[in-house]
Amino acid sequence: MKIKTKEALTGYAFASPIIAGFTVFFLVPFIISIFYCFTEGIGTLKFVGLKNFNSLLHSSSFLLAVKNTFEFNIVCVPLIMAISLLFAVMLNKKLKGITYFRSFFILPLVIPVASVILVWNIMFDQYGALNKLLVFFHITPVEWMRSRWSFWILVIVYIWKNCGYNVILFLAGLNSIPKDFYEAAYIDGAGKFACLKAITIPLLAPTGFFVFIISIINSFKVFREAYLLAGKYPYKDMYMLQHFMNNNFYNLSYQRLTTAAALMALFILLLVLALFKFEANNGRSLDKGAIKKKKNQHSNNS
Amino acid sequence: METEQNTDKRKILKRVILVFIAIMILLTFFSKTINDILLPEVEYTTFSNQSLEKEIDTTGEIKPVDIKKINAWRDMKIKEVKVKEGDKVTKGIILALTDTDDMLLKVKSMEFEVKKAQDEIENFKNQFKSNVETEKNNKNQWLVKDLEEAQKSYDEAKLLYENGLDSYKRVETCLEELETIKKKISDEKESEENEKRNQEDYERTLSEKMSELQLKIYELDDFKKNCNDNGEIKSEFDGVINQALIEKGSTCNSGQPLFEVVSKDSKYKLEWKLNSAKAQILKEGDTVDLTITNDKEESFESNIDKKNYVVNEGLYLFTSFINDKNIKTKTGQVDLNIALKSKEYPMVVPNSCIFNAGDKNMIFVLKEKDGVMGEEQFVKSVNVKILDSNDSSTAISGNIAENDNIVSFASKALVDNAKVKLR
Amino acid sequence: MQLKRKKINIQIIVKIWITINRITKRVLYYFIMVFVSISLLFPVIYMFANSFMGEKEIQKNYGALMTVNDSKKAEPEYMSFKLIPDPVSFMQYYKALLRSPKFLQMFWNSCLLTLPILLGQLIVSTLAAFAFSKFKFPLRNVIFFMFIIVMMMPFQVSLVPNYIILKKLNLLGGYLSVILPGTFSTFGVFLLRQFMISIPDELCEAAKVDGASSMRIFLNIILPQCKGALASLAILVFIDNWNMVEQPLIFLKDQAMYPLSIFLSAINGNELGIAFACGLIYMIPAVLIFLYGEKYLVEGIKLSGMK
Repeated sequence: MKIKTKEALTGYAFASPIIAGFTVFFLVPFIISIFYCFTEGIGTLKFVGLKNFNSLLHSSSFLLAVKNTFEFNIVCVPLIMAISLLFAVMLNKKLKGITYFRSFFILPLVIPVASVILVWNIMFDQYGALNKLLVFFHITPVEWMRSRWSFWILVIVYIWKNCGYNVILFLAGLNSIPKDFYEAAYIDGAGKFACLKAITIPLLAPTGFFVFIISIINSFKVFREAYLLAGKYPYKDMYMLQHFMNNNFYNLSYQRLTTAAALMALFILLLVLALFKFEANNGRSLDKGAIKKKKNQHSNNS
Repeated sequence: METEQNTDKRKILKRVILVFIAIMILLTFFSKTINDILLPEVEYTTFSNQSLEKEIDTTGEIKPVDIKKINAWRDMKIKEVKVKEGDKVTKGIILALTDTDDMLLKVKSMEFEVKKAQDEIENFKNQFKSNVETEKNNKNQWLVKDLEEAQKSYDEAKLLYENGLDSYKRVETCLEELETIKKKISDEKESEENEKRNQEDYERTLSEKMSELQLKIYELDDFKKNCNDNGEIKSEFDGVINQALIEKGSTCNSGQPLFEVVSKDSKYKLEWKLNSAKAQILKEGDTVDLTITNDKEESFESNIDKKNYVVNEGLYLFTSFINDKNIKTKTGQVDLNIALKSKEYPMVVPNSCIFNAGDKNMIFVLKEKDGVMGEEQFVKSVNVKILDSNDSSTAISGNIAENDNIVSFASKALVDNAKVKLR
Repeated sequence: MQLKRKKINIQIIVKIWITINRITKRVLYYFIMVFVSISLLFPVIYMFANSFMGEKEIQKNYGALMTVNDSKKAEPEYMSFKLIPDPVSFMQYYKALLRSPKFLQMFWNSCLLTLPILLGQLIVSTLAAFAFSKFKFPLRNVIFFMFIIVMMMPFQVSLVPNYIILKKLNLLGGYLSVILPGTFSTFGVFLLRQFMISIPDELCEAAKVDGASSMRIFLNIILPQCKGALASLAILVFIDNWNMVEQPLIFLKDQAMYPLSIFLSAINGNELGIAFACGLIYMIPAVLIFLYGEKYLVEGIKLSGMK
């Protein structure tokens, strides 16, 4: 018991800086801001119950932002996962120069947004490079930033930047799959596609799970690009929750912002909980089961 | 093999990183200095709504307007001058002393002259009377007697002749005689006429002489009257001695000016001369600010009263009156600054604001933009029309806003949109 | 005989066909990869190439972007697209590095924000990761779960809470207002815990039995093993914070304190003349660090994805 207390104290001692910082800069303010969700304005501490939530859920801009954020995640996350898996598989070969290709994938990750935003601006300007190209081929130019395209531009920028991260994660996942599985499957006469379906995807499930989470995290970060590309009030298809929060911050309607933030936090919390639950129930069994199954198959065949 | 390559690569990279940091640090220190050296420094101002003051520096002369002269009322010899230029005098104060001996001598000589004239007249009268009058009367009497006798002789001779008593020759002789006498009488009459005429001449001469005498008497009286001064020349006015025209020992005739006195209430005028280039700025009637520097500086406002061309000098002469009573003026040469106010112009800037490009005039307006480097200053050129100018300022018209900062100094030549920094 | 010959022929043909097939596949593979790589690198290449353009050339090429096009115009003007500068000019670099003291000042501002966060987070995170991985204490998992949740939140969620507390602490407007929240970001704890868990507990136990204090264990056993992970974290944190835009924009008041990222994002039409060079200079530290520590970066990313 005594040893346990001592250990706990030492643990706290080591963790104390981050716990203190976390408490001061995130936890306490977060509790305060949750408190604000139920008050009117920031100056007056008048309890208004769920009025803020009610008004927020009826605010068209909030609903638009939520819709766009969802849409973006629904489109982006599967897309980037598919693309990065594809490239991870392609890069998971022992070929000359492959390390260079891998480096090229990571490079966008380190390029500061602020630097590269200039290029995006030049590309997607109404009179920019892409439209120039379209005009050259006698295609009607598109107002990239003022149409549905703006959403896809964001998707492209997002994939460009975050693909490398996911590729590395997948590569690590792929490397951890024992090679003999494939050999066994090949001996069994399984085709490449079959291998991908039967071995790679199931065994990559835990990696995929993290890629999924990280893709979501990164999709929230794409606001930076959106903000720098189109400013505070972009075309409606680009209007994200972060825009909503950011604008409400500048409009000083803190209670709206905190309410939205609380809702978002709640959603993320539930999502993470659900994901972990799902992973705990299925993921592991799937992954272990798959290995076992393959192993059994392998041993049976041999 | 691969690790060796890797370490090589990382060695190079390490060096690159160090070089990069070194360059950035180095540039941080130098860029500010270099930029400071290279960016034109500017100062700025705004235009103002004001009149243009044109200034001319020259020398002028202050002259009093109301100068009264004190003249010599007689010939005099100055014994002593008691005042000098610039002295204040009041009425009655003694300005100078004259030599009184001289004066008395003169009186004497004048009296003598009068006496002489009187005597002369007396002489003249006497002379004429004794000469003419008695003689004439005698002659006339004698002639009438002669005529009567001759008439009688003639009558007798004629009678005798008629009676034959005598020869005709006798008659003729008597007639001749009679004729001669008659002629004599007529001659006499003629001469009497002459006499009469002479008499008139005489009277005229006499009256002339008399009046001459009278004059001399008057002169004497007058002189005597003027000699009541005990030899003192006194001021007739309150004022300041402008000029003493005499000095000790000088002699002067009556009527000759002795002193110039500036009357106490006199105005002063300022005169200056300008060449035609400068003179064209000023015209008659302009209101100017005049600043005179003599011992100290004094300013006042005045109008230009006159502008005359002085032919032989080729200069224009300007005259202004000093109306301001407070100005303690001294006559004489002063350094003069003439400032002419024009009409009010809405946009007046210092001359240094005007830049020329060919035949166009322009100004540079300082603008700020929220540049990528934070706030950034640059200049924008604006073409302007010059309405008027003087030594320091220029009135312009152009597309400038009221609160525009106009570059008034640049350390380097400016061009449109050039980045600048403030001094 | 003929049959044999035919058989050989077929064998050869099959072999050739297989070889051709392999070669085409290889070529196709490389072709795709090169194409993808070029697409990925395109913005960097583009910026690099354009950064050597002179002012006139930039004006010529991007004039259409700088001036507001009249929408009523029958034929709108488009920018011209050019990669190779002609002639090569160092004007942009000269202007950015020698003629704009503010640019360099902002570069150092960026450093001044990034490096303290980096150091602080490294110290705080290693300590905390040690605690979370090697000690058992009440609420440990709850706290860690909270860390993960916060790590996932977009910055805007904690914007008002942060703002409120910074205002209360009177830090608003100073560098600390950006540095402190950055320092206590929970990502580092998460990453290093992932790594430290993989260090066998037995090592610590053995040291404990030998009578080593916890601090000693941390310094002598854990830290030396963490070098790689720390490098990974350092790179990731550096990249993340070098990229920072929103926080300084909101928390810093004085424009003179802004980091380069804000400056670059504010570049608009008229300043295109030096934008490429500025952007390139700004990415140089990140790229250099990437080149230097690519291995660690990859390790770090892998770590973040490890269960």
